[in-house]
Amino acid sequence: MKTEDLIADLATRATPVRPLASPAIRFAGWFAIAAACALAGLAAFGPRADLAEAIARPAFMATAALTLGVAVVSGFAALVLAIPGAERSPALRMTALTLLGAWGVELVTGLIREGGGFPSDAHWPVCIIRIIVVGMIPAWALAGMLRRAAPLRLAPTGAMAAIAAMAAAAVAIQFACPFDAPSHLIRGHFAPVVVFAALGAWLAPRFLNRA
Amino acid sequence: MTSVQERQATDLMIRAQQGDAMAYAELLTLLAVTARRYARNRLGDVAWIDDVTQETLVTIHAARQTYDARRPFAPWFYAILSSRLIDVLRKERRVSAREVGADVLPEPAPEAAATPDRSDEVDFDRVKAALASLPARQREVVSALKVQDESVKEVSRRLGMSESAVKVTAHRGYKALRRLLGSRES
Repeated sequence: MKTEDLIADLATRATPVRPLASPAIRFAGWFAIAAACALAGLAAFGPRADLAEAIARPAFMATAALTLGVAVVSGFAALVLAIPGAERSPALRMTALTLLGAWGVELVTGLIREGGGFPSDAHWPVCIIRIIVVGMIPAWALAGMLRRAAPLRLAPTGAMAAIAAMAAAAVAIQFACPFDAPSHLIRGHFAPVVVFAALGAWLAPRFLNRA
Repeated sequence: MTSVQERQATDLMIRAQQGDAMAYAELLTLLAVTARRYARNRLGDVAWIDDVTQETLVTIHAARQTYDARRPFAPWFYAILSSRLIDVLRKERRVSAREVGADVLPEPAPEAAATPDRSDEVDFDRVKAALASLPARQREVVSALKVQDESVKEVSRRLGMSESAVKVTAHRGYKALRRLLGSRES
């Protein structure tokens, strides 16, 4: 096909399109969905019995803030990546990964400090399942938003989206889960975020529309 | 892209987003020239400059809702162009790596050269061998259009591709076939 013929063909399909809102506005929409799902998850699973006491501990709130930071920055990064030319530098992606790394380092440091390695713990698979359940709708919503846009780097976009959805769910589950041991948090809260990041990177080229 | 061209492209894109086909055709023509020049500057005079240009135009069509008129046009356009250039470059490298074997396609039998006029005859074995050496997607599209006589619309529906993508893939398949069969136009 000649380029002139292709242009003529594409021009016949010049239907009106509504320009997408800016990544910041789209992020606000996604975050509202994620927050609603987190609250619904927390209501469904019930807050931990000692929530007031846990909130008073700076370490508990620091972990929650870090996890929330991971969700916010990676969600915004995914939406920026989905607009061609909008990402001027990889700083946003790097910030999301740095926060994720800091969360991991915080947990591993706690594990080393406490000693004892990974004791038997029957509850961590429950937390993984809960995180997946709570993160499912935000993940689906974000994937839908990305499909409407035009990500050019599919694997990083998929990874950022998966991290955002799962980290947002992990924040909610932290307020429901009665266990604070680093060994539990690594297996039940942090690992699913990392595993879903890899899964998101792998699935994105198959699932997201290649612009 | 000069600043005058960028302003012109922005205006045309705004109109194209509103469904103005004339503005859209004008925009794509302008961008095709820019894309061709950009690709030639980076790759030299290679055979698949048109592939880069066409892939870029198809992507622009699919991504036109992501252009925000409050932002400069050039970064949006060049992000798409350079991404498609890298994709085509990778694809061409893969294809040329696979096509090594195609160079040893059976030569025409010596008596064929001696026969005065067989130019209209088709050596089906050669065509089949050439078709078999195409990348899977090109082979599928060319076979569907030319062997099974399906329409572009039918192929696009069956393979889950856009009609433009079917046409571009078919175009590449024909080009590769011509190259493999000794550049005789069909």
